[in-house]
Amino acid sequence: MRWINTLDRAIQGIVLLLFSALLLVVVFQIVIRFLPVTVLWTEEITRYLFVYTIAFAAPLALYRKEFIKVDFIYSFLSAKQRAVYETIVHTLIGIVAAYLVVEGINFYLLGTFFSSPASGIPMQYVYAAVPVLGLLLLCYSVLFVISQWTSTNIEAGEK
Amino acid sequence: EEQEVTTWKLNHFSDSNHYWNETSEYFADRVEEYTDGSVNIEVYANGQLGDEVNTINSIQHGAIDMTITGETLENWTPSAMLMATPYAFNSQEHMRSTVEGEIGQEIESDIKENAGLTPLFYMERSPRNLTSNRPISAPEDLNGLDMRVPNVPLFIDAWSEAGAQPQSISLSEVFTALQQGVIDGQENPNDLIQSNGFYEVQNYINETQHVRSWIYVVIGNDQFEALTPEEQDEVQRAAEDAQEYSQELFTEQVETVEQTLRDEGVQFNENVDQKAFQQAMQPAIREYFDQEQYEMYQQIVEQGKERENSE
Amino acid sequence: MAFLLVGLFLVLLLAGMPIVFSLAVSSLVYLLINGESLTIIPQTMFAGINSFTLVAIPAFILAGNLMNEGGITDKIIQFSKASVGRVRGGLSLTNVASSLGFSGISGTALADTASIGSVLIPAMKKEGYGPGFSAAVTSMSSTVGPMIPPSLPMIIVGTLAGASIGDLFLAGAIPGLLLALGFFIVAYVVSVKRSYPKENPVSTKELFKSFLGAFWALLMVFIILWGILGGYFTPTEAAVVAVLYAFVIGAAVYRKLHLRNFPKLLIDTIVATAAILLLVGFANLFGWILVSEGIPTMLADGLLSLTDNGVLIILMLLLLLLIVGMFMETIAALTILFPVLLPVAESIGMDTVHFGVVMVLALMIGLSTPPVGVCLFVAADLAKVSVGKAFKELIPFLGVSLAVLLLVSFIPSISLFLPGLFE
Ligand code: NA
Ligand code: NA
Repeated sequence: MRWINTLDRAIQGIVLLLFSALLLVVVFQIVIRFLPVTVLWTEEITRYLFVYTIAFAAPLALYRKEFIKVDFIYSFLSAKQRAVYETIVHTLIGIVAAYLVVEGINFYLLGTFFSSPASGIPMQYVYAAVPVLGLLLLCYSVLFVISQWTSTNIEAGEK
Repeated sequence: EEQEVTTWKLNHFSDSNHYWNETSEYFADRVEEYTDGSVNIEVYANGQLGDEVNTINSIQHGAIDMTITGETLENWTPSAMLMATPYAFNSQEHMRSTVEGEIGQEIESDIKENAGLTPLFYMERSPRNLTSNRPISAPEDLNGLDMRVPNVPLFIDAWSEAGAQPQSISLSEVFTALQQGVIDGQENPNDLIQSNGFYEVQNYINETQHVRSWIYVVIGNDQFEALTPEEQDEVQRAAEDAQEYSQELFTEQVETVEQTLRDEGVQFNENVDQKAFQQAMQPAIREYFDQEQYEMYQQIVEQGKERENSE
Repeated sequence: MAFLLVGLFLVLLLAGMPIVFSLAVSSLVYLLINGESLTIIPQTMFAGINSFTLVAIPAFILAGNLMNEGGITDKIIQFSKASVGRVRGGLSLTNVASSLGFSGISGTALADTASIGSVLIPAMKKEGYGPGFSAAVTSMSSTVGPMIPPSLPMIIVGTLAGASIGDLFLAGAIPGLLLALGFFIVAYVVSVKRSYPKENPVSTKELFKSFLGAFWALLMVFIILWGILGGYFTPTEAAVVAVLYAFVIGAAVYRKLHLRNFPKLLIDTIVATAAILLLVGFANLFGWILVSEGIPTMLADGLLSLTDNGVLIILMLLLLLLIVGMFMETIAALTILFPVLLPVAESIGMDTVHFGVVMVLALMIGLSTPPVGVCLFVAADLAKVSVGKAFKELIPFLGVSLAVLLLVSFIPSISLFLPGLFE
């Protein structure tokens, strides 16, 4: 299952690029405020970079168990029961993710009809972040379930 | 026999005291009355179900059915920008005659075709005015003025062309930005200047009246066509009533708002050279529109001149 | 039908489904059963995340992480120890003072608990403080963090209400200081009763030296407020300025930041943010359904029909918020409930900023209480003590928090005084 870690690292790389770009755009926005020029696309581009950053990073959060939960029941379960339990939880997450993909594509299609006002970016490219998020969440929830029933240890999750 | 009831969600962006909301409620009542309760409209004020772009998306996929919208439709159909073009109209009467005339019909059919929304009736808005801390009477006074302009490209171009430095800041942050001096001015219709409290942090309302605009109460094409022809007729009849009703409320509102603003101590700068602003913004409009829209725009301006001469 | 939505959400939540997916699954089931458009799912999610203001969240978390990595936590603790360590129970007072110092660079209570607790809890235990007491002081004092700017919960409130984040930041400051003062007193009284040790007094020169060490960290809160209130940048931009600042201080002044640590720092920051933002996205969907069902209005009308006595309504709101805070994560609770409860608060004449502060403060208290209190859990874990024992030690501190909550709720000027100065 080495490719899982390759996937994880690739996503980390994308996240780093997106977030660094976001920081640079905000810095640029602050700097030009003090110069006699008007640049209007920075606010929009910052938001869109942010949405994409989250779309790629949220699946990483799933893998690293960053989502807060009430683990009252969990603490009473045996190792085997936990595997069953995690399988149920992640199957539900997978179903939500699948809906995000399908409905995300419908959402993407709504974006074909218009563009973003200040930057002129067709909204479909921005809306595409949602099906991307759904797809990655789906991948990661499936991987998580597999990892419960095989001896794979999730290297990325241990860090 | 069990009656099939259609329920529509109408999401709009004014507060519940605004005449848009009162008109919406009135329209809902008339529709219910005329259709014997077979069509129900639930009104959501304050954009509770989402902002304008999201609401239009929602109408297209059916989560919401109706909204009140204007030049934002430009994103879907370019001619909608004529609903809010700087200095297209020289009076509210001129605007009304345009909306109810050929050009208005053309815009309505564009909206129907390109945005999937059927306009039911229109409402007037008060003209947009520039607020500031020093009087601004001519384009020369704009020099060095950092002003907030909504994210509407034509508005931004027009104000840059006239000599201001437009900044894009979301409406919810404008008050603080004015208060802290991040920006020196902003422009909006008087009712929004009042409801957002901008008069508290600005000394002058300069009567630039640079944009006269109107908005439509719209229903999704699919939602409207799902009604029986009889129901559609009744909804149209209710729309005509609501149109008339909104006119009365609008006139009342313009007066109360202006009085409130005066009572709050804001200065109205009536000494604004609107012709000079119009000329200063002209190149931006020319640059912005394509041939077809620019011809429509010119036609509107011509009709305005004719009206003026015949008076 | 709303019962189905809320009921299913609670069942999933208590069954241990992550909060974010409890929201998602219950919303999905609701939409499927009602045959409503499912495209509202991606759309509301997108709308929830597509916000310039919320970019402040990763930026403030990153600034905090950079400060931490740059050795700033140690400097703050050293300075706190030098200034308050000499009295009875010195390390427990140091703990409170460190939280106060740390609050200026961090936006969440959990960050405070984890970073200060990991240094001070072992030190306190070594000097003979009870592990339960050590965990209690750490957990409770870190709730000061989000009251003093910067504050992630306040940013969320500002976004939800369209209120000025600068005003909210200022409004939280005095309540935050009151909390710290109350915690100082409780820690001192308990320490005297149990004869906990005091630290050796330091010379004025050493005190000054430790102050210089912490100076750059303490300066950050002033830079943020100066920037926002002076009109130089918006709260989001201020957060990015804080990142640059933390970077420069860590790299040039403390010389502890190294480029090779950067990717991990950034990834940690963004992953934590993504978890919060996905929650915001699905909470937006959940909230959309609640609003379209007319629940906020119904709840407001319901509460107001019980009584029109302002005092009683405030007490009912506080009780509700405390109970919610015991079970729910702060940001989820804010995103779901703030828009629902604001109309109730407004109907009895509460100001948006005032109510925002009250709500954040009430929810903060739940971070240190069972059944779901992340700060308490982390602190108890660091102290290697049972949650039950730590909670017992926590009760007098809880008294302080409740007293401050009541004061802030009934005396608006405690929160509104500072923002008023800048009008
Ligand atoms: Na803070
Ligand atoms: Na602490």
